[in-house]
Amino acid sequence: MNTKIVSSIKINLIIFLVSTLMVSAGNLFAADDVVHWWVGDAESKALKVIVDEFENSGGKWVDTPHNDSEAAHASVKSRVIGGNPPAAVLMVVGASTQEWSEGGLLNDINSIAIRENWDSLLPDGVAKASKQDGKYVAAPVFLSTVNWRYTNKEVLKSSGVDEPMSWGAFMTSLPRIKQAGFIPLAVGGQDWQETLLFDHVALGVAGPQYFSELLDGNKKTIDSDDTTRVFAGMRALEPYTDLGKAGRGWGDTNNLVITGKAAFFFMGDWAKGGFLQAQKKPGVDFSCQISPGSRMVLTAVDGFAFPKSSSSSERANQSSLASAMMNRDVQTKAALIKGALPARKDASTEGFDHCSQNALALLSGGSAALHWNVRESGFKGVLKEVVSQFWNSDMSPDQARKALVDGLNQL
Amino acid sequence: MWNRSYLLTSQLVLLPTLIIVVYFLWGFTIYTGFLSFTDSKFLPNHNWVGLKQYYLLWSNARWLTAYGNLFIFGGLYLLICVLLGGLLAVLMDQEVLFENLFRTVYLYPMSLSLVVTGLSWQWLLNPTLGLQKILNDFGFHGFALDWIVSSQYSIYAVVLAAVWHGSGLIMILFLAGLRAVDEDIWKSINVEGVPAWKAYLWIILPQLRPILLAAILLLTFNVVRSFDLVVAMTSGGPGFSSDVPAKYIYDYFFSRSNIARGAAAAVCTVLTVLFIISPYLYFELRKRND
Repeated sequence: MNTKIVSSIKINLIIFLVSTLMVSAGNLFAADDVVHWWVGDAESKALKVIVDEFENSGGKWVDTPHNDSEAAHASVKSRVIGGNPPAAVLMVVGASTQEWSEGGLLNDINSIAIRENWDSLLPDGVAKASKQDGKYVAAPVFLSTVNWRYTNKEVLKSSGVDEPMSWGAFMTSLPRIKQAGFIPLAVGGQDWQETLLFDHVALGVAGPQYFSELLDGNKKTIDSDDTTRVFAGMRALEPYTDLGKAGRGWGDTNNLVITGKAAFFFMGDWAKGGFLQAQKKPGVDFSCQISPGSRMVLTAVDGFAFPKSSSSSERANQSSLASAMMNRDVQTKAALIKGALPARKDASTEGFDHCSQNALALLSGGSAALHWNVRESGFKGVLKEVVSQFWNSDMSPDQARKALVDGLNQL
Repeated sequence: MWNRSYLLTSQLVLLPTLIIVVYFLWGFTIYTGFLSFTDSKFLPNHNWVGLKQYYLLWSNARWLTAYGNLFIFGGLYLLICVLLGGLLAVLMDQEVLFENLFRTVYLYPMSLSLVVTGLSWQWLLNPTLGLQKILNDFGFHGFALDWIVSSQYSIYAVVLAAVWHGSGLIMILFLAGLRAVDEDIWKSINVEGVPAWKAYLWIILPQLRPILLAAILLLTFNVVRSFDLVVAMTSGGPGFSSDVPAKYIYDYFFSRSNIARGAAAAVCTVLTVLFIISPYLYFELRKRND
């Protein structure tokens, strides 16, 4: 009899202990860390500028680097839901920050934004992308330009080819470069890299009007003959790529052009840092052009979002992080190192090389659109999946068009 | 009296584990099953949509490839590991010179993580860097080993790396079993003058059934969670030709923000494995209880 009572008390005690442990474990490990994936050489140096500014103003930076955005976001999402959020997380500002904010996973940083008058400091498009329901939920740092073509000038000279400035000229240059013994087009093996290639083909074959409608998810445009032509245009590039492309990361692919093994590479502005690190001069050793012939700039905004937490000390920490990230001198200096453009419009553009100046001129004069990477995960997931499946199989352009339409209809 | 309090203490000590297992294993399994009937996207929600996610799942080309690869990968991996491991163990049992050295060499891959295995084999099989290039440079121009870059054969490249990693362990398991065979059995085999290969095939190996069971179970776990090897080696590519269910589920949960579809894929994967492995387990374990 007695043992029974004692044992039931013991059981209750253990249940109590276990359940309190489960609840409090989340808060036990709360760390004011910043999660990011800027681990490349130039990227980490650019991040260091922000870290220094934040630490000089009295903060303490705790670094949690990841290899890529997907792993970083997967871990942050579980941490926020589990009650152990980091102080800040690097994100592509736009649909994903809005998605996170709608899901209740983010703090807004509107008070510091109002105090520092961000509305007057940022271009309208960037300010709009950083907000959800009129409140700032992200601190934009860089304006990335995505649709660059990098060219190794030495390789072109050895092949006896002039730098092609239209899609037609580009296509005719490829066989001559191949004949000269180089890899005409360096392509990586991940779905997002393959889809960047798709961007250029779409802009070159079907034009900016078509592509911006596709990015808007216009069903009529997507189910048109233009889409078939774009996929066929992509297929036409395949003979000019090398066998080693499967599974290759963008850094290794970039190196093929830097070291003179390949002529062209389609990649975002973050690839420029690799050329600069190898002491190659823009405009002399290599050239960068925004999708030649189309004059349309595809942009993305890189910035930080601030996961939900209720403690006031954590919120204060998040405000001072946001303030350091939006500092004008920080953005100027970091953008110079990373090869991107600063998000603030009053940041100095002095000292920017011909690539960045080129992008600035097009941004003010030509047309611009937000890149698919800024779109919601469902849309860009289908686009990447279909493009990658098409590129790596013997699917016909018509089948690819149908797969794209079906995939988007099933969202 | 002594016996009773002893029993009570042991039950108390086991209780926390029981609670944790029930909560985290069964609780979350059931919750995942529930989520597969909702339209959860970025975050879990409870809007019931019936079998819609299953319909979408089974009309998705990527899932069909990943599901098919579960059978190609699982079947070949199990079969080759067991055959090769068994053969190596029998050869090792012939009192070879330097047995310790050979045992270490064959078991070494096991000490590498699957990520390291995947990366090394990615380089070895890359036609512009690895084995194909070496042999071509030596003058064998016709030699081609381009499985990893072909969407038709990439899954077989993954099987190759997995077998290299796993067959050493199976060899050790079988070798331990062979060493435990009674000396008297060998004596009578010798007296009867049975050829060695016949003795192994019809007398010795049938005694190793329990070891075969353990080996198959261990390998099956590796098949179901075959995530890290694929991610490190091909990241599911080219395209999604070497995709596997575990990677599909992870992608839909996290990067595709489609929790319900990921949950439906998880349910289908678990049910498939249960359907295949339970009859075998039932058969083997019941026979031993008899």
